[in-house]
Amino acid sequence: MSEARKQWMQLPDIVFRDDFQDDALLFDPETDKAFRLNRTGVLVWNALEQGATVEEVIERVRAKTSDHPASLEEDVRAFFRLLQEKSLIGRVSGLNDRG
Amino acid sequence: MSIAYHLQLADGTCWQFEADTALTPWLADFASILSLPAAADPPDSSSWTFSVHSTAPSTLSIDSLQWSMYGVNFQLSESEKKVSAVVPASLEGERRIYSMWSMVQPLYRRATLRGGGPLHAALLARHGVGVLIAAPGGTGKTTTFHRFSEPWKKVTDDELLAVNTDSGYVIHPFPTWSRFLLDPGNHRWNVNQMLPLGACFFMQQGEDVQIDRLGQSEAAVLIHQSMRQILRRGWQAAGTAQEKRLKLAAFDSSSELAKQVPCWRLTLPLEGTFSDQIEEVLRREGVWDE
Repeated sequence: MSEARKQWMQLPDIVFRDDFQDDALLFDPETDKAFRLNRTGVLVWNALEQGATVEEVIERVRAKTSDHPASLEEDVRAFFRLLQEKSLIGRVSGLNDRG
Repeated sequence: MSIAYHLQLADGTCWQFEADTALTPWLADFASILSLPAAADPPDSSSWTFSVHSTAPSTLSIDSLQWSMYGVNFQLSESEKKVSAVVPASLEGERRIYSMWSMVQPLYRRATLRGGGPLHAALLARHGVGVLIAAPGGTGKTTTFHRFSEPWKKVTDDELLAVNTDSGYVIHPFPTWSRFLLDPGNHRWNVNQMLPLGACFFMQQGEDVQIDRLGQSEAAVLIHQSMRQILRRGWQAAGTAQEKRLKLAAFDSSSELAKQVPCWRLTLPLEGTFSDQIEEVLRREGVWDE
């Protein structure tokens, strides 16, 4: 399956808190680490609730922001890579796997 | 069991410590370090009992949570209101200090599950309000603590317990155990002392004094780091489910603390004065009334 078709989603153990006055937090009880999310990060995280490809996440974030910067796509891709590196999201196996 | 000692936390938790005959001197020394008074009454149904044994008592259940730390074997009853610790009576010197150090972990665990938790920070007091200076070990926290002068009160320089109460977070000072390793003298801390928590400062070194207000989420991450620096000492031997429960509780406590207590990043040079700037910030933010 090509990279673009891979679907990703939030890992179930990751705790998401969005009740602060500024940014939101993700907490991984496995590694005992907390990560801050800005508003774009929150949109990305929420877009991954049901599973999505990177392209779908970019489209969902674009649809929810009226004044998005030119770097939006690269910002989302970079954040996506970070979520993968920190093992905060996982592959949805077997979905749309058409090779 | 011999004489019992009493610790009253601001969240209503009342701990009663007792030991068997062989560990009576050990418990007396532990109580002396923490300035624990002798318990006036036997523990009642609302008390949390902490029994220290020289040999494993036969009443311990195999189903309860068990872990080891610094040569001490702990067991927590299912209701978690009874802690048993088996301490070798022959311990001396540093190993004896470490065994006492391990005793505070069940207290920290209980406070964390109730919305508070331990913090790796120095505690100062002014106008009856507690002010924390937090920083990782080796970054100058203790040096900074000693740079404060009267009328600031220097309470403790390394470890403390925040407890969650109906009227906000309250701090209890806890011992700097490592001090005994450097200087085996008669050091004392009044752990029953309570101070309302007014502010937290997260220290870093820099060329000029700078005090920047932190957003709640950034403060939560820093408070969480401070809390896990203390809690992780007792986690490794705990059961996986219990460990996860405690980690989630510590994250929740850190988040709530960050929402309730104003926090700043404090950048300090190695020399010079800075307490005037801190006082100005705290006065302006209404942390204390003068």
